[in-house]
Amino acid sequence: MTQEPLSVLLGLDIGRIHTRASLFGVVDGKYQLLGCQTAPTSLGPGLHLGTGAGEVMGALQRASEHIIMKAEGGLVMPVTAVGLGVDQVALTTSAGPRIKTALLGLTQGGSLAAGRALVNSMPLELVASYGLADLVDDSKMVQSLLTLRPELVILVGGEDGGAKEPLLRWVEVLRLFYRLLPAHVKPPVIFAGNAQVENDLRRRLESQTPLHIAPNIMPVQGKWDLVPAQNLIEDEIFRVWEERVPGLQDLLQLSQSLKGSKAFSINRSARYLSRTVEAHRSDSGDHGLLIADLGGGSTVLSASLNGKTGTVMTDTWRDVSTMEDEGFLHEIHRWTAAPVTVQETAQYLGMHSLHPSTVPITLRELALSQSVARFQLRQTMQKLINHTPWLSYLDRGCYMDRFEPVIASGAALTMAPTSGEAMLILLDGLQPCGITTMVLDRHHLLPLLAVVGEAQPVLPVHVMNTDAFENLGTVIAPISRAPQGEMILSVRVETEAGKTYSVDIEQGSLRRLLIPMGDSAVLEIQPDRRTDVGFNGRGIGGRLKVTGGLLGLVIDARGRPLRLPDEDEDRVEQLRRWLWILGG
Amino acid sequence: MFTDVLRAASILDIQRTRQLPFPGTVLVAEGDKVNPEDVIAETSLPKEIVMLDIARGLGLSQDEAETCIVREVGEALVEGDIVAQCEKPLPRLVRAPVDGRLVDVVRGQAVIAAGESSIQVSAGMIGDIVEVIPEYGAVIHAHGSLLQGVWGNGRIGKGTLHWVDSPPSTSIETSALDDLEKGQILAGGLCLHVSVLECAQEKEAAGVILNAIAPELISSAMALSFPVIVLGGFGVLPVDQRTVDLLCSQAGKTACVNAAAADDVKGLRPEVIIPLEGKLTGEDLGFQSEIAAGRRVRILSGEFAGRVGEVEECLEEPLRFESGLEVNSAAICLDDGKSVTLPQSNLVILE
Repeated sequence: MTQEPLSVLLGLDIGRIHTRASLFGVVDGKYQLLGCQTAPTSLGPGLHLGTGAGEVMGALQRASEHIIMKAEGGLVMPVTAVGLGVDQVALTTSAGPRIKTALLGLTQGGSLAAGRALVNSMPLELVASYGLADLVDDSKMVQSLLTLRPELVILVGGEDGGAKEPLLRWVEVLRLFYRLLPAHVKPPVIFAGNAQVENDLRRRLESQTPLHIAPNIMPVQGKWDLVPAQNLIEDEIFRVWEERVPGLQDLLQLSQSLKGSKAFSINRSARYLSRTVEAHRSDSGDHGLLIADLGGGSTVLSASLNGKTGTVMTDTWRDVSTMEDEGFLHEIHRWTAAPVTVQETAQYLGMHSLHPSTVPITLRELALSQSVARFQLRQTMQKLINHTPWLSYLDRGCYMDRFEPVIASGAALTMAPTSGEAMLILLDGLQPCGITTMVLDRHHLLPLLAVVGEAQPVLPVHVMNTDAFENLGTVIAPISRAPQGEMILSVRVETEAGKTYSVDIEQGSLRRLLIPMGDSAVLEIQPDRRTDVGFNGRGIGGRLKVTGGLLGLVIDARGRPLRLPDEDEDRVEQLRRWLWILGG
Repeated sequence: MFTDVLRAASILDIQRTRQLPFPGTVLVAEGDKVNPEDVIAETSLPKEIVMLDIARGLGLSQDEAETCIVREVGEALVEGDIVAQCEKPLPRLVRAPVDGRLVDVVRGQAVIAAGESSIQVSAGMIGDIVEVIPEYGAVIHAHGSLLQGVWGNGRIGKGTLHWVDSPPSTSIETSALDDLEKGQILAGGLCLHVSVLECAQEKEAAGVILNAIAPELISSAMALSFPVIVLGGFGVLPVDQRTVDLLCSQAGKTACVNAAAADDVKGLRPEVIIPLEGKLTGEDLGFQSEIAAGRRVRILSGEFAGRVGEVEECLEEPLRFESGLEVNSAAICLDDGKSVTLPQSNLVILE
């Protein structure tokens, strides 16, 4: 991997709906974002991803006035003596399909739980998850695998140094399964279990199918290490996508090793940034970082805390036939800040599932699209909680750990007409507790920065400190047992200019306090004995220095989980009031 | 800007490739004529795996039992064939319980793959085989009208087109299906009642082509045994008059409905092909094409959702809409002469 200083880097982020190009260069000795453009992704038969990429690179060249393309097409690489072109290209993508995966392990609460977390962190589709308890009849298991025809098999289980026999039973089942499959469709195996089985596994399976061996994802009971297996899966994903997504192979030739799937790149970003955040933290206590990416095709959440990282990816819902059965329709209708009927909601969801690239043009459509964004965040947060054992949470998916900052991206947020709308989508969708700062990754750079950082580690550090990342504001979200309307908290604000004021906060309220953008302020927070604001328990207050974001300070005392009035009229009125408070 | 292309064309040359997921036998030859349900190629996987416990049958240890197997791995077996035998301590036999193939010997057990589970690929259209892809499938060619939709229930069929008229924005009623006959394909505008789908099923229709359907009827449509294809979308949407004219003019002709689920990566769209003779009236526009002046487009959202018109111009500067979003837009002259300006991302090409 090169560590030579690179003067200009081009980042391509290719999603199912949009292709983004970002140009990074050195200004006054520091890397900065020189420009960023978006175009529709050219995905489909007879199409080439390069068409959309070429369109967006052309737009980037025009907007940034930096020549990156040759007149006859293709990139100018490396940068010429007169400063034209780019030195390096980095590529992240989520354009490929999920890969059908069978997970085989031993126990539901042990290796299979770790295995499912592994599968859910990557663009894989879990078609089967079998443990030893399912292995009553080898022939039925082989039959089941033949019927499902997975494209990838992940075998996990056993602690390092533990008994080999249970896993060897799976090895025999797999050997038989592979004997029965035609040569062209034998899915590769990724093994991430008891290392002592490796030799038996190689002897029995290596002649049948590609076999990749990673360190055990659970070397001792309760301790997970998913990253090495994620790296192997990432390679396998790109191998499949290069075959199936026309044009990806050509673009990867430009980027060479600087590539990543969106989900895994976000995971890498979370790991990298949480280390940086922890290193620069002045106060004590556990602090992590949460990244939320609301893409057109999928939503990714990645949480990192104390060296542990959990990532999940959910597809943007496309199956219109399930919307009523699974309750999506009514949940999305309830959270729509406009007087729409259930039928209108169903029509919007149906059309949006067919044409996910459409943008809202009316206020009703905007309200519906923002409700979908809230729903996607809630659904993905619930999944993150389910697959991340170390995450502390309240009932119904409200996390308790202190993630600061929360960095979010996605068209629903960055295209929201006001910062207040973006903030409210995040508050309603994630329902954070305690104190955090909401940051908006306006140009969808985080996945790219994780990849670019491989070649130029200083680049993400520089770019993260520019206005490409907008501070939406500090959030205080107290958890209190007090009834609605009672005072639970007082906040005293001392601004940089020396002005001081205090506010009392009622349970159930949402407040916004102005702190000018970029100014610092000291907050003195005093909760009552029933209220926890994140200073290690109920009734414990403290002082906090914050920097003013676009919305200053937001105090979200609406309670967790959030509740809405039952009557439609009251519900819409409530949602609109909250939006109005945040300036939406 | 590139956007999806949906075809609603009078006469086109249509080519579709049908392939197995892995090698098998191709059942057609170049020049063959095929119907939608015809199987182009097939392959198989074992239907059942039988574990024959030789060790238990012979009363021996696993290792001893394996030395008594008298068949080779890979050998075909007929029910009753001797699979293993021993002389000591007593003469004993183990016979194959089913027809099949010996595929492995594991821990004193003979593994027999029995029966075949067939994997087939169908033509999905009426046409001629113009190219055989050895071991995988074929390329089929047809000449005729092509209507592409946005949603399908995954089934394939063919039948005689039967157009049912209904006033704009009004659902087809079951009473309008009185003339529908067995084997016909019901084509109409809007369906808001499950009873219409049930009536088509009772009358043994061969398929249903709709411009729009209520979203709550999707699960009912999924459960039907014949193909259902939606051309425009979900909810109350106006019909495109040219599409109506095309379907009306072909009433009584044979239509093939391939209601495959749409898949952008694989390039699948649900579609109706009506084989016809005649001069070509359309060009190949590909899966996506550029929005440009003169292109016929369908509007996907907002007040004009479902309406069709012609692009007058693509605006150079982004336009701000009621939602507050500023996006690249196009001016469109609707079929009734009204002019509207809408985001380019909210349009599909319909030609």
